[in-house]
Amino acid sequence: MNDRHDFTAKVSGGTLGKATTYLRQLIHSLFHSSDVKEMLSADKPETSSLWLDISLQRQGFRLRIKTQIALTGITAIFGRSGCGKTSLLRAIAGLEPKITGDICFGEQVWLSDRYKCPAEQRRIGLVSQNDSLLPHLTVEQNLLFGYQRTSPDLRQLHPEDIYQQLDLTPLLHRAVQQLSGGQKQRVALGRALLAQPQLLLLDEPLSALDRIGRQEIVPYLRRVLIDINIPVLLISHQLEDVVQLADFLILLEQGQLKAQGALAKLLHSEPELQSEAMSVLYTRQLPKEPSLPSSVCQLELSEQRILLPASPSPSTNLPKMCRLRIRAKDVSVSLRPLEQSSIQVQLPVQVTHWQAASSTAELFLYLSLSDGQQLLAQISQYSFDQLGIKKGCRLYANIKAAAIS
Amino acid sequence: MNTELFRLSTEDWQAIWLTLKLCSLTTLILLCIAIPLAWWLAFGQQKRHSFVEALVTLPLVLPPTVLGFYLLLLLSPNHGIGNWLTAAGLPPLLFSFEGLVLGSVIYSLPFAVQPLKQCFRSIGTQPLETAALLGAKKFDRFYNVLLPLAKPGLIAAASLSFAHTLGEFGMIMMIGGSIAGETKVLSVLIYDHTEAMNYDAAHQLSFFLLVLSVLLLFILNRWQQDSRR
Repeated sequence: MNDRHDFTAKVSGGTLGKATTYLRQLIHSLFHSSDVKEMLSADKPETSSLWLDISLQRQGFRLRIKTQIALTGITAIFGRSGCGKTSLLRAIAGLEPKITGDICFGEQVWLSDRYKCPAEQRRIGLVSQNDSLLPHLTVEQNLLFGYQRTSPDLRQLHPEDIYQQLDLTPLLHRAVQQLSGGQKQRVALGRALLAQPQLLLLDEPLSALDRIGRQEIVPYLRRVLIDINIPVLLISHQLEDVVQLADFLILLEQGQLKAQGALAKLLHSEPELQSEAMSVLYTRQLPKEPSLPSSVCQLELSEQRILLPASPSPSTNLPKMCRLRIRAKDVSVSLRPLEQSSIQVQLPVQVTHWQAASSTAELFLYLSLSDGQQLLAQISQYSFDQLGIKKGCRLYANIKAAAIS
Repeated sequence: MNTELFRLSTEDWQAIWLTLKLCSLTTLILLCIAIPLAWWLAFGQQKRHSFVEALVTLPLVLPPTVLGFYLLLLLSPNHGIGNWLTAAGLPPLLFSFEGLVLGSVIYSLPFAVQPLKQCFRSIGTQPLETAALLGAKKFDRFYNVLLPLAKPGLIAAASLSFAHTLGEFGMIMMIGGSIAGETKVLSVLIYDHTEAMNYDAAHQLSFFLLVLSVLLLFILNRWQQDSRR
């Protein structure tokens, strides 16, 4: 907001001009602040948000998006290639010159009819899919490029910490050309973070990497994103990456917003996301018990204690919560709890509805846990008939602990 | 031949000095014009870009005499620019060193713009966008990102403009004539010597130009190999 006012004051000249500008500012700020309040009261988000109402017209392509994204945790922007994901990200970053509409980041106006905040003032970190390191600088110079250009009082992340967290110290004095793909992405991530961004944009940061390259970055990415409290927008066309990292999802289709919401919900309601059907469940990690083997991890899921062989990944959004990814194929159901079975995770559930899977002999069972979370089970039509499943009937969902990640 | 080189007359030295001055000044001015122009042409895809591109490339295809002829018309005291210059009380550009600089800039423009344009295209906009997102302002991006990355293009543009201006003849004959110390550059002096059947003097200067040109192109090539490595 302040930026905009400074800008209008700068461009006008003369006393009359100044007076008019002042009046305009006054009217605008009154109007605008009530506008924001209204929007805030409508949805009551706990944190500030990114408001978007933008459109972009290009040959054979139209992007038209109006939404509000809560600035917390990791939000994935998901859709097929060509659906406008990258254009949306570039619009937010201020790199798309032909974009029109409004963008507000919390209290800051980034785009309006009369004002466009230049990219260098938005304090956005971007890690894109292709190699974006500056080839004429060394790794260290690349890492410090943004850090040196931020004012000292904004510096909260420091080079030594980031080098250590991302394991960059051995690379510092190398030429950029000597790095592998995964190392380059790690440097790009470190560089973006050292510029002290208020928003981090990840544009398919993994898509150009092979399996080894992914291994070089994924663990670091996850750790850093959990540790550092910066909102993240993650673009991806691979559900795998989205489910691994994000808590919220924005689904784009042909330049339009298709759906938006919590990942766990959308996974079950959007047909596009069911190519590999799975559920995301949130659990609370319980303190270690001395009677249990040290490798076993104790969790509380839907008022039940469950044991897992390995510690699951913590949620980036909810403190002290862990996320479990469970594929629908790995969930079976029974009318009674199984006894003397290797299955460790058995949850009482209620059937909400079902739906045919892609193969006609199988179907997806939508199960509701006692705390309201939803679980998806893929079972055969035959067992469905055998068990005589009806809407609302109570079952036990059995999950192999080893299949949970 | 070696000993003869040292027997250059004052007139020869004057021409050499004048030529080097003309080439350096032209190169300097060309770089200032060509950097923004090449950037604009490198990423523009509209009709006006094609039109300007055609204008810029024109000196490459037109005989220098045609270019010289139109400049002569344009600069003559009772036409266009020449008219305004006289009205403004400025000295006429025709048959002066300043006129030669103007002519050379136009004549060598494609040799500065083309390599820079190619270079900017290969750099693309991504490094600059990256720098902007990291907080670098316009001049910062230009000076600390674009210029270092465009070094091979800048070297090529500078040496090609210099070398091409060195070989200028037809256009200078049209708008500069042959005034010692003002417009009599090496190529014109060689022509004068030959006209006066003073073949020895013509040979010395020709050889000088030949060596200078080979040297210049050799250095350019080495430099580009270095920066590619």
